[in-house]
Parts: sequence; C-alpha cells; structure tokens
Amino acid sequence: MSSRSTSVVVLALVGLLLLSGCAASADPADGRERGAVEYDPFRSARTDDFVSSTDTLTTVKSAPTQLVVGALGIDMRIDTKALEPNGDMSLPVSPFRAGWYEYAAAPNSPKGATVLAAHVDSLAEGKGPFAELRTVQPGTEVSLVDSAGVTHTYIVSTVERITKGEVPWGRYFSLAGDPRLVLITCGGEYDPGYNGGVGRYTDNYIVTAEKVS
Amino acid sequence: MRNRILAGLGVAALATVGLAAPATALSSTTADIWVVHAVPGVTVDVYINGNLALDGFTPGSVEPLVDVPADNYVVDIVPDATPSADTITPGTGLFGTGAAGVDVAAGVSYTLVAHPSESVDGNPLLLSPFVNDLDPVGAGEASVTVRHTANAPEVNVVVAPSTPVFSGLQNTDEQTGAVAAGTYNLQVQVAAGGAVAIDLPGTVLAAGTHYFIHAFGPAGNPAAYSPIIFTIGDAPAGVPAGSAGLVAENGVNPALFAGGAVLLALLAGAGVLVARRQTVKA
Repeated sequence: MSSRSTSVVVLALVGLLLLSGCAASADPADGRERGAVEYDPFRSARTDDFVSSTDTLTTVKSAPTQLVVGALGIDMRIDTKALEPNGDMSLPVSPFRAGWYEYAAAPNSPKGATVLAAHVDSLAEGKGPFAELRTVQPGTEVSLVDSAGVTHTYIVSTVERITKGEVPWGRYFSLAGDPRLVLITCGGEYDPGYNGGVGRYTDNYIVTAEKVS
Repeated sequence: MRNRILAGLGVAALATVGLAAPATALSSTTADIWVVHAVPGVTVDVYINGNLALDGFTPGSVEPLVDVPADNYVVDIVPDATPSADTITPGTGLFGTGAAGVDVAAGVSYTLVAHPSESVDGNPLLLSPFVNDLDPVGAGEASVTVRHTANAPEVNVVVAPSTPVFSGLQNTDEQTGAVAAGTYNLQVQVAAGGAVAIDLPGTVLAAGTHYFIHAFGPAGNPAAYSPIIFTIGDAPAGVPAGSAGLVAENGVNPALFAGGAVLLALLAGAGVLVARRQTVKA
C-alpha cells in the first residue's frame, strides 16, 4: 500500500518535471557573447514614434485561435494563457499547441505585439512544430486566425537566439509600437544538469513578424 | 531502480521550490522612459545631455525610450527647427530639467511629460517626471493611472454620470488604482461645477494591463481636452518552452541519460513500478 502511494507521487512529480523542464529565466548570464543586443535608446527608439489614440481604449481583444506557417509546415491551435505563480509565462503542456499571452496585444489590437509561445519539445510527445522556427527565413508569411474568424497576415522580419537571463522581455511583450507578431520557443544547447537535474535549454528563439494585413 | 526513482523524486521537489521570479521585467541595470508631449500647438525637439534624441516630436505623441542606462540626464525641450541642431548646450532649452537634470534609477519605468501649468496662459511649461506603477495587477484586473497634465483646474475622474474613481486631481498630480477588467464610461469632470472635460464612453480596460492616461489641452478650436494614452502589460519573467532536450544544438540528447528514469516511469506506468518494487521486497 505504501509502495503504491509512493508511485502515484512519483507520477505526479513527473508531470511537474514536464512542466518546468526548461524553466528559470533569472539566472546570471553565462558569458557567451551571442544574445547581447546593442541598443542606443536615444538614437534608435525614434523609429516608432506614435500618436496616442483612443483606439487603445476601445478595442476588445480577439484571441488568436490558429497559427499557420505554411513554409514550415506549422498549423497549430492556440490556447489563451497568462502567468504562472512564479512569474513565467504559462504554456500549453503539449508542444503541439501554442499559448497566446493575453496581457500583451491581440491580432486586432491597433498597437503592440501579439505574443505566442510553445514548448519546443516534451518527453511525452517529442519534438514540436516550434522546433522549426530556428530555420525560418525573413520574408516568410505567417497567418493567425482570431476568435472572430478574421485572418491576420504577418511577414517575418527577424529571428533571434538570445541567452536566457539576457532577454529583455518587456520589449517583446510590448503593447506599444506597430502591430506585430512574436513567436517564442526554447533552443540552443541543452543543460541536463540545470537546477539539480531538471535540465533546460540555454537560449530562447524569438521570431518577430510585421503585420501586413 | 528504486534508488533512481527516489533520486528523481528529490529533483522534482527541488524544481518546485527552486524557481525564483524577478520582481520586475525591467532590466536591473537600465530604465525605461516614456516621453509624452502634452503641450498643445508646438512641435518640439528633445535633447538629452545636449544630444538630439527626438526630432520633430508632435503634440499628443508618446515615445518610449527603453533600456536607458541608470544615470543623471539633462533633458531640454526646444521648438522644432529645420534642420534641427545635432547638439545644444545642456540646460539651455525652452524648458526641461534644467542643468541639475533628472536622476534615472535602474529597474524603474518613468514617464516624462512636457505640459502646460495651470496658470491662465499655461506658462511656465513644465517637464514633469512620474514613476510608472507596474506592480502586476493579475487576473481579472487592470491598473489605471490618470495624470493631470493639462492647462485646467482641479478635476475628478468618474464612471459616468457620477461614480467617483479619482478625486481632486490638480495640475501635475497623478492617481493610480486597480479596477475590475471590463468596459466603462469614463469621464474627466472639472471639480468645480462638474463640466465634462474628457468623455471616454466604452473604455475597455483589459486584464493584466496598466493604463497611463494623460490630460492634454486645451487644443483646437473650440478649445478641447483629450487623453494621451499608453499601456504596458504585465510581462512574464521568462518563457520556459522546452523540456526534453530533443533538439539540443550541442549534440547531446540528455533525455536518454538524465531523464532515463523519468522516461521509463512514463512508459512503464505506476503498475509496473509497484510490481517491481513489491518483487524486490518479496
């Protein structure tokens, strides 16, 4: 009897492992040079001057429900997600579903970034569609369908690989600036010993696409 | 076998307590500064430490400067020139921080608002610094900050017609509060007499979002007041988006090693493990 209850606990904790495997964003930089983004706030910010508009106050967000990147064979359903208790973004458990961060912009928002993230893989289901994001080329078309049935089209502009702990998340999860789409997953090297053996990837892949329609 | 499972158990327990969340999504070495132009009728240039930072900045605009290193900055506002000078002597603008500058601390989100004072003609013009309250508002709530930066007397903010939200805001004042996410008919009313200065019917306040609303005016003919708005969402501390190491770029597939016990547990299921353990005991 005691053996059985122990095993149940083990399985429950296995679930926790799956959820938290690539966790923890706050550790210090590991010294590699990639990921450091040179940025002069006084010279380069001016690309995005915007005149305030009351549109900001009257738009009801339409959640995205489907993501299609034809060139990469990606066609995923999207769940609405927010934050975990530890402050990380909450993600669908399955790498075959993407999460939309509801506290950033929506596809129909007049300003800001619509942010989707998905696990790159899991022990239970293997490699997910977002594993292909690292190969995407600028100019690739991406489309979202929202809960109102409207299709929104984006063109990939940048693909970045940034060491965790160095990612300026506030800039990617921004409600300001031209409407755009940000796709996030994990990648880079895998550190199996991270956090006492939980393991995680060392980097985030971040794809930004500008809205065209 | 049993030892490995127990080892895995310990690891998992660590994982649940070992994840610390940073208090803010802002950088620990830099600040964000949102620059708001609330002076009616004049396009300006903004100089920081004498260097041209914003050229041709129009009334009603908002400009976010992100990742600004912590330091003291002298900010000058001058009427827009064509072409604008690349540099000026710090502290010599039409108005601004003056030569003493403004201290910018790391990990803080600021707003600098160029705006008229409450005097009859709106002069002197002011550059007022505010700290943006970005404490996470959480599920189901929005944070609203209203700043009185117009050439106008004391105002109240209400849900029309008369449910008070903020009261007694004078020029250069701000008030912040959390409200349930939803749609509201917000109004800014002059405290003396209740005249509607700004009418915002059908204002949508979304969960997890901080609204910064600045009173702007009077501008135009007839003289009118309007809001200058920007929003900042609660940002996550991180995006943990993988767990198996199956696409690692260092050629390791650690799931087959470190995660072996886990994988086996998944594939075998509880029943097999119980059976094995009982076998060992027997």
